[in-house]
Amino acid sequence: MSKSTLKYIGKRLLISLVTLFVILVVLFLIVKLLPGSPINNERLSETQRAAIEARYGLDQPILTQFVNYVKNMLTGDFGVSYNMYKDMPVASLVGSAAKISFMYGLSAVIIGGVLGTLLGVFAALHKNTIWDTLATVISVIGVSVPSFVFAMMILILFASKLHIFPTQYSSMNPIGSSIMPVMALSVGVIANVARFTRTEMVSVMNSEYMTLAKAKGLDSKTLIFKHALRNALIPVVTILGPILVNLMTGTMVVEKICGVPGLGKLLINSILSNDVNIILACSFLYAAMYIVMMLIIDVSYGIIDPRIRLGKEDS
Amino acid sequence: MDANLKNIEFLPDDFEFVGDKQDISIDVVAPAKPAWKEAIGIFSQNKGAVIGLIMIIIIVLLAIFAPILSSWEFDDLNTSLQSISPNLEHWFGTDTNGRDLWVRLWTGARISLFIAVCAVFIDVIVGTTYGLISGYFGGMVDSVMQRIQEIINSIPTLVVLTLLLMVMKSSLTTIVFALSLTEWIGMSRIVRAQVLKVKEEEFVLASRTLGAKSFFIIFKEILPNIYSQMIIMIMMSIPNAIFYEAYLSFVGLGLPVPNASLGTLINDGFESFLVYPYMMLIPAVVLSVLMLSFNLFGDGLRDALDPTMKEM
Amino acid sequence: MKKLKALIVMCLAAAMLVGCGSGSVANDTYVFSSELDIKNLDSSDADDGMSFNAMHACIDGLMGLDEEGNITGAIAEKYDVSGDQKTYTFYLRENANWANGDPVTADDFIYAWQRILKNNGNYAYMLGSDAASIKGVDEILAKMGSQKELTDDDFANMGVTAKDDKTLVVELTKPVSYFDELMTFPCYYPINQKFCEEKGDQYAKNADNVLSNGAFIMTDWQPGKQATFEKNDNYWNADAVKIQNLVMNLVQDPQTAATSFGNGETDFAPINSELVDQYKNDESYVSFNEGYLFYLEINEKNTDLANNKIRQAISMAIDRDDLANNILKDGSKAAAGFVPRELSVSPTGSDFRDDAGNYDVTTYNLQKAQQLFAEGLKEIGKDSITVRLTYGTDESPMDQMAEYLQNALTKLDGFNVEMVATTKQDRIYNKMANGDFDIACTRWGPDYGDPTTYLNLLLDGNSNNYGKYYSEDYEEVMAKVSTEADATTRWQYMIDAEKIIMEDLPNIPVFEKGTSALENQKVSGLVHRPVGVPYTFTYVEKAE
Repeated sequence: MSKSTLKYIGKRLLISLVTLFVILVVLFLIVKLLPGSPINNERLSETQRAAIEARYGLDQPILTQFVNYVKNMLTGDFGVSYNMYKDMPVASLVGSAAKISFMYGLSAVIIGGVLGTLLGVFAALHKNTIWDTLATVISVIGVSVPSFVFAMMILILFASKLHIFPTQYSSMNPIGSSIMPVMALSVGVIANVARFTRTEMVSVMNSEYMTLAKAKGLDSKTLIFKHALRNALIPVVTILGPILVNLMTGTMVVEKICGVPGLGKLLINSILSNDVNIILACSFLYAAMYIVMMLIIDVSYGIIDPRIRLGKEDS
Repeated sequence: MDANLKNIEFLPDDFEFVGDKQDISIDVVAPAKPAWKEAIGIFSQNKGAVIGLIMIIIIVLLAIFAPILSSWEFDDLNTSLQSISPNLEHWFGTDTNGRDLWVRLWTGARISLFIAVCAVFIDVIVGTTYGLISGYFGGMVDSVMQRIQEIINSIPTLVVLTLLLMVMKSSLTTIVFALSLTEWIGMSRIVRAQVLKVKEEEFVLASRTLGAKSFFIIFKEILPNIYSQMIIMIMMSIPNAIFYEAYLSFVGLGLPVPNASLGTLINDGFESFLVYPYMMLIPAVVLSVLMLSFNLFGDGLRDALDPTMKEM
Repeated sequence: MKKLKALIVMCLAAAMLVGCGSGSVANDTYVFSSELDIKNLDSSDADDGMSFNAMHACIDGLMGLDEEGNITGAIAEKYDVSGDQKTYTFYLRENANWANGDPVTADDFIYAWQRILKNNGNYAYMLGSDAASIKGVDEILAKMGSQKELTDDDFANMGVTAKDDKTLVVELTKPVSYFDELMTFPCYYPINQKFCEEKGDQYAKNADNVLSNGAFIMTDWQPGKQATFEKNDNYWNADAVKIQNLVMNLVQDPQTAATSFGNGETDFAPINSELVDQYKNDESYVSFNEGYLFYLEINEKNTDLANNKIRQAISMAIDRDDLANNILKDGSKAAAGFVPRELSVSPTGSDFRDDAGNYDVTTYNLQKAQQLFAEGLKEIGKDSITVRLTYGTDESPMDQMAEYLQNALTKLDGFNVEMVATTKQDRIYNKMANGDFDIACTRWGPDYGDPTTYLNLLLDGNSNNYGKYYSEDYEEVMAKVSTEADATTRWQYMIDAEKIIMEDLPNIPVFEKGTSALENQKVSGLVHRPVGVPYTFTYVEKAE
């Protein structure tokens, strides 16, 4: 790796860290400046409430609270839940929820990536035929229709009509109940990847080195998978960003539909019950994941194509 | 090689001297067409885009007129008319409170379209201004503005929206305000990039040399030259805005009852989709069609206005 | 292309295999699905029904329920009441033990109750004169209120003593007619001091840190997903426990729960209003009274609503039966007064609601409402009023109720409603606590089976009296209620008290919440109660 690449990575890393810190400050302020008490129990008297707040250190100046929060956070302690699960450590609650969301997201990316690529290649190879049109229509629909609508459609089809998959999360059957939400989530990924792969494939197939490879007499299988696809897939990295963002949005909604006890559902429930520590930890985790993903994408793309580093500044 | 040779056919005049028997090249001058006419030409050849446009027009017309023309009210509870499947009297059936879903759906579509219009204004006003200032003035201003923009952009939109609703409580104004905090970013980026490109062009330099002030240059020289990118961006942000409203309503942070939006209708229908699938299916289909139409229309517009951006 | 097809086929085949891993539940296992979550297993501050269910599955209090749902001795084999009804002596069962082998002693109760006070817990009031009226507790509460340090002397003066390991004596400041019933409430459960202190902060935070003395032992608890229990063979009443395993599926969507019920994967599934249409004729369909009263709280500071005729008009404009039977459909009933049905029984065994009767203002009469409203408007000199209706969108079925009310109230000419949608948290702690509301949709669940659990809400200075209602007559009657020793006279005072508030209408009762569910017909013995612990699993039995 060249010196300039390292410098670039270092700079991006620094910016990400600063951004993350600013986000933490903003989130903390939003959550702390909310009117009312974070302790949610109508049966408490004022003095009892004050006593509980004092026990959690909520009576201290906001700066002290923030310093303490950051200190604890660095040791992996995100505080305790105030309302949803009284006094349970937030780190373990958020951790187990994030594990599920993460698994779903990852499965959707893998399944969507593979199927999307195949669909894209298929469309590109049958360019301007009815198959191509069909693939394009599928991908346009996949891109436009929100994932929660898909989740609902699949739910109606598979749950109420066919009774094939469990539609809602069940801890007795975690793998079976993951099929439906992962299916719903991967539709968007398939569509995005297919659309992009097709375009790239078409332009690669028309390039001169492909003509050369063809001229060398390579059989079509090697031609497509060794030469064309490889080159076509590199730029797919660029759309990973938007895809992952869509997925994060998607998981939040699909989790609600399929009753998955994941991060999105935890965040929504914590907002509804005003459980500040869970809100903080969930939103921070979301932001952190997003930033880390962006960092990885930017850096890997910077390595693949050094010109990006200059261009990135302007676009 | 031999095989190829065999395939070559010779024409009778192949070995004749050409000389000046015929014009080797003829300059065909294409008739000058205004840019917008050409754009319309390209656009109307794009079937998807035309279908999208027609669908949008139909939905807008229905949203405007359907509630007016119907004899039912969107918030008229009537427990004797509960959960009637679609029929001639109630075209889309009634909900669990006995309200006509045809009227509720199109009243809800109004909200979604209103939010789409708001998204356009936000894009144009906030995004464009931000991008213009950042790109035009450059230097320190640009650096600071870009860092701020990067930070806002690093918080996932949904987290911003959800947190905001916690502070502000659910209402249409809140949703619009929430969108105005995040939706402008894409626009400001495009505008800034375009400004950076255009401001170095010679016609801007000429204008400046003639003594034009920044204000004049921005509005008279730069803006007219980047409008096509702006329109494309606007079309792209509309489906997003519609989706975010639906999402917020769906997680229960949307409009207060008895108002309806496509999102709240889907959410209400979801409660009973096993018993009455139509309550959820119809608004979900309309929402999808609306988003699909805007996407198709936006794609077509992009190809027509700026073919270089194709498949970006 | 063949490869692609093969891949898709493989994926689908794999999916089906995984998908079809379900079957019916074993005969010695009872699966209970709930929309709610277990939030807290610490008996001294858990405050929601599902946590109560889980806690009571593992822990018995002094008193419990028999198969019919009647109050009976649990850890206490029997108890004596002194002649002045101010001293209770509980004799604990010799064979009542904790799962770690320790006997359940009188000190375990004293420790648990003092722990509530020492932690300044939310149930402190339940020990004082608001409920149990234990001697010395009011003094401790007063000291805590003025933020003074509590001393050992304060606790020594508390009216709970262990005569010996198995005898607990409780002294009260006044007769509490419902004291035995109160002892079934989770906050009075015993806690094993050694175990609790050993676990420290982590006490009751996971399945391993809950010590059982009851029918079941908790084996696993995953918040938001599932809790599992197995039979406690050392339970004093182990013979009565017929099932080996108890599974609670948490945060289940009603539609899913209904589907899994159809597949035989669960024995009990809550369903919502929308599903009732589909299942109401099903043999498995059951509905319970949940004990919650949903009502409208009126801000006394609002000058328009201060007019009594306008309040009566509001109350009479609501078709409570229509709301309960056609919108909610879950077994909810129209409220007839501020004290719900099935809450409390008189000394002669009749329900409070039957004795107090129905009030005209709770009967739907739009014509009369319109007339009263017109008169009211004239009295305040206005043509129309605009009123904010505050409700939480996260408190189902509060939104259905608000939606119905908006429609019902705007039928009165000149009545405009502005909907204020918010969260429960914001509704109570910001809007209501700061008096920033006109009419708020709110609800209250009983802490114990006595009308005062509702009537106390409207006393001057009660922290839940957000509307700031004050009536001298009411204070006077309620003072008599609190001191009267004769149960029959006290009963009559409570009826009088309700009459006052049903005339003044500081709160307008709307409906009593019901719950509908699907229950496996092979199962018997699930005990339901609208007050305190909703479900008792001890006697659940499954026929072959």
